[in-house]
Amino acid sequence: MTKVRYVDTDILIIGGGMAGSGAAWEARYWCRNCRIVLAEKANINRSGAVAMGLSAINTYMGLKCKENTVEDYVKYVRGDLMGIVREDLVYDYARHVDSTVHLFDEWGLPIWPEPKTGCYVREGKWQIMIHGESYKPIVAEAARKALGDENIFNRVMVTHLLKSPGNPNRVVGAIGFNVNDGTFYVFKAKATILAAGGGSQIYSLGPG
Amino acid sequence: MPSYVIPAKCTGCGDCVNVCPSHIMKFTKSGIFGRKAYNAEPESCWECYNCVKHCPQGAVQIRGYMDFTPLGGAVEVYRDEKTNRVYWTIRYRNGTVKYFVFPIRTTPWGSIKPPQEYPEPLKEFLRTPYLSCEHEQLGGNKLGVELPRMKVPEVVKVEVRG
Ligand code: SF4
Ligand code: SF4
Repeated sequence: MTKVRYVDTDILIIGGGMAGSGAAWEARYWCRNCRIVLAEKANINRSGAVAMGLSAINTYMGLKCKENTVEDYVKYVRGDLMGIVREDLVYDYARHVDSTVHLFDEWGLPIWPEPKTGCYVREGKWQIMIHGESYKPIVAEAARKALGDENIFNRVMVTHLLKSPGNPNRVVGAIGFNVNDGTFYVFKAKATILAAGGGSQIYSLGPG
Repeated sequence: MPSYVIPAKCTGCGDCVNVCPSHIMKFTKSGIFGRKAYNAEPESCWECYNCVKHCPQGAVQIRGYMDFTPLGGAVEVYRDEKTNRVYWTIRYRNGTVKYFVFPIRTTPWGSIKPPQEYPEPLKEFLRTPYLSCEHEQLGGNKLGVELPRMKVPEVVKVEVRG
């Protein structure tokens, strides 16, 4: 007999990778009294595309040191992708990158410093070098502190979004199951953030 | 090269099963030696090394499997959250062994200041283009976007006359 658990929440975050962890932090910063839950198909400490660690951060403007501007970056992406880009979206994520990297630095991610200039060591025009073995556990620690471990559902694979019966364009939650014991989960949420990454096993080496 | 659990070293604690993002570290049926972990689907392993790093017994290696690359190369990792270092041992098939040490974190584990310990922002700041702490992290208004400072405004004293 399959067990069913109902979870009522204000904000549901689907996926506990870098995006989901960041969403958890951000949601808690802006809403102190909301109930925020996160469903992750593996363990948030080591899950998603950054689970194995990284050796560089591939996009960092360097606004602080006037190395690049956000507009330069949009130009670069447009050239790189032969013009087939939504420039507004590229601009939108690019302008937030620097402050996020500074936050990671504050949390303890070892970013290679450039002692002469006070900036970071560059590997390329947009890359900076890190000792990123624990990149994901560090970001996961921030997310876990933001939500509390009781609000993080590890090993829960979300399979469907729930839509409002009155308005098919409105998502009101999601359903999924625990991949270990098969417990069925019904999340009811006022707002749902989908941060679930790409398709499963499309690339042989990836979280899916 | 996928992960391989050395059964004699494994105590069956389950740390690797808990952490594997591909959900392919499984337990064997409990035998006379108790349960053991094993990589149930080496072809789906994305070689993330998490099971290796999280095994307290050092029982997991990354290595070529006997039926595929029986050449004797292997990688072992020891990750220490007290000294914040990760130690790599690379064993080549000709017997060469190389060691590497890297830092993993510059602050103690558990030291992150959570978002709820920052002063609560005013609701109207949600309309600004900035994320949490962004204004401070960028060192002020560098992007040329008008933004109120992230401070709760002082209460204006109103003098009542007459
Ligand atoms: S290397 Fe990664 S994917 Fe492979 S078994 Fe270990 S934890 Fe799982
Ligand atoms: S973490 Fe190590 S000792 Fe524990 S079950 Fe896995 S292989 Fe065995």
